Amino acid sequence: MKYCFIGDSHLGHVMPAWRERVAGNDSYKAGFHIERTYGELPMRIIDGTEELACFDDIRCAYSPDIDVKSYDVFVVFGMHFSFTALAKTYGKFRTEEHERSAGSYLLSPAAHKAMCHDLYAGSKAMRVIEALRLNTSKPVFYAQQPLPLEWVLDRTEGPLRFFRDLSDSEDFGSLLAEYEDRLLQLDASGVGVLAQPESTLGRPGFTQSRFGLADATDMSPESAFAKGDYFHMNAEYGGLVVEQLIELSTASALERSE
Amino acid sequence: MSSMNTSTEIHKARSPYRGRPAKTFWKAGVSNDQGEALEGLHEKKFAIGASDAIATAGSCFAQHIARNLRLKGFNVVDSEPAPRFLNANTAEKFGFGVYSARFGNVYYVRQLLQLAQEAFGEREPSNWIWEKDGRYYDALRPSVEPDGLDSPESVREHRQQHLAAVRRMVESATVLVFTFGLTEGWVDRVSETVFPTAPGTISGDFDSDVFEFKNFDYAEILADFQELRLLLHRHNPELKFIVTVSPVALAATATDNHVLVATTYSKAVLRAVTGELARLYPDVDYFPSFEIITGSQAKGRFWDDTLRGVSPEGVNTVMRHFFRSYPPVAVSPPAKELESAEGVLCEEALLEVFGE
Repeated sequence: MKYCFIGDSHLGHVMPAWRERVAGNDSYKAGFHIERTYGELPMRIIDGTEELACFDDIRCAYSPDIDVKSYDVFVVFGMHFSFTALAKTYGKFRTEEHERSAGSYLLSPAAHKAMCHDLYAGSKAMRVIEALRLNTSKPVFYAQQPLPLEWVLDRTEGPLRFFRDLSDSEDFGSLLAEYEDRLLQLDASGVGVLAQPESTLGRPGFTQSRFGLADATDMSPESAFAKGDYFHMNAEYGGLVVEQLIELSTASALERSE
Repeated sequence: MSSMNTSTEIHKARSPYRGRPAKTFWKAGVSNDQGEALEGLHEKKFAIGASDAIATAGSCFAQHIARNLRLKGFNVVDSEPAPRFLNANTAEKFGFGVYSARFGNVYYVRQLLQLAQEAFGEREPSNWIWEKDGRYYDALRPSVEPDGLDSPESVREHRQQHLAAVRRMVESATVLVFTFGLTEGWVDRVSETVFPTAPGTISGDFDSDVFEFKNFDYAEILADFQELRLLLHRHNPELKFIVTVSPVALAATATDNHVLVATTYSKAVLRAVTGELARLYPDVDYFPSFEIITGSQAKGRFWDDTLRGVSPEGVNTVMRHFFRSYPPVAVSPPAKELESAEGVLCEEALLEVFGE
């Protein structure tokens, strides 16, 4: 079975885990198509020489072309279909249903709902998934973008304090429910959603700090922790996701062959 | 007297038209090239530069102006910006990005005058929250919340936020582009609050004891704009104006006239007012989008199938002339996402894995 991994920096925790897991096993093959911050090649979905979709805002450093004929399974990782994306709106927009100290601009409930819809419908993940489903009947999975690391709640100053503000508010639950509902809708639409491994979850809406790429004990000024990397996970997390993926995709393949 | 003598006398006679520029003669200005170039159609009173902030308001044709100004890199004021990931259709549905604040279409000057007065605490509207099927609407801008709101209190809260945005718009703009749309409006009999739509159209109910039809005349519209100009200058003395007249016909008239006759009357009055304003004030310029669309040189080709709306070709032609007068300023490249702190962290995370 050949897997097509599509994603952004959240694939960082997957690639080494994948290689370790499938080492010596020729039945598992994979190709990685990764959006890079400094990439210049627009990601494309192709069928041989025919271009099926092109994403000008998703840039790769290499392997930009995803040939639907070359793979058996497609797995999209992260790509902004995240709780964090929604959480970031909290400091800027609110409705009458939110606390008055929430976002600075008041939206009507209808406008807020439309905002949430567009946030996820227009995410890079969703656009890639839709293009894949339009052009292939092969299974498409979405690996949930990890929830933020718990230690971010200790940041009470600076640009990351919005997590703490949100977490302390009564609106936290409704926003998390909104995000979870979007994942459920995605799953119901036929995309296999790989939920974040349960053993990695911390308090609601967050990931245990020990699964972070950033070492929460490293106080040196140039460390990922000091710079505020609350969203990338480590190899241990990646291993759990890879196991989950193999299990689910194998089950899906069996189901399809029956 | 011989005929030659008469001819010579005529030849020598002085004429006030002699020596005038080509643009002032129909044959040279329009007929010769069938109105393609219309050289000298508009000679601007002031330039618009990179440091200018342009606010836009007016009837529906003004939407095209705002959109095209943005596309060309002009600094168009948006004092109520949409969430950045809202798609264009959703944003427009809720009145975001259509004009410089979410006031919807402003068809006549009295509307803008009352909005500015309200924003700066000089008047309070009345009968402005309308109900339909248990939903509540801001009747002064009913289109920005197409499904209405839950309660009158909510409508009031949203309006206060909007008025603050209008103040920011007025205070931050250096140029206001305003498109005059109609002369016909609906007015609250007691408070004289004016509404963009007739009661009962989108929401509310038409009670002739409360509301009345009003067809604003030349003197009223001129006086309204003069009052508006003074008010805005009190809060922003440097503000300049570009006024235009929408070529879009009335969808319906509340007069007893045929809608074509009512439209011609309405546009003629507005055109006369805008001409007078441009004559009176150095900070008011008239841009002839109305003539570009409706002039005989256009041969009617700029109308869509309804003969009311302006075709994309018509809009493009107007904007081509507009940008001939006001050349687009240098477009600043959007700040690249990769420069964000998170973008850098993403790259570092991958570099760590790939060891590049």
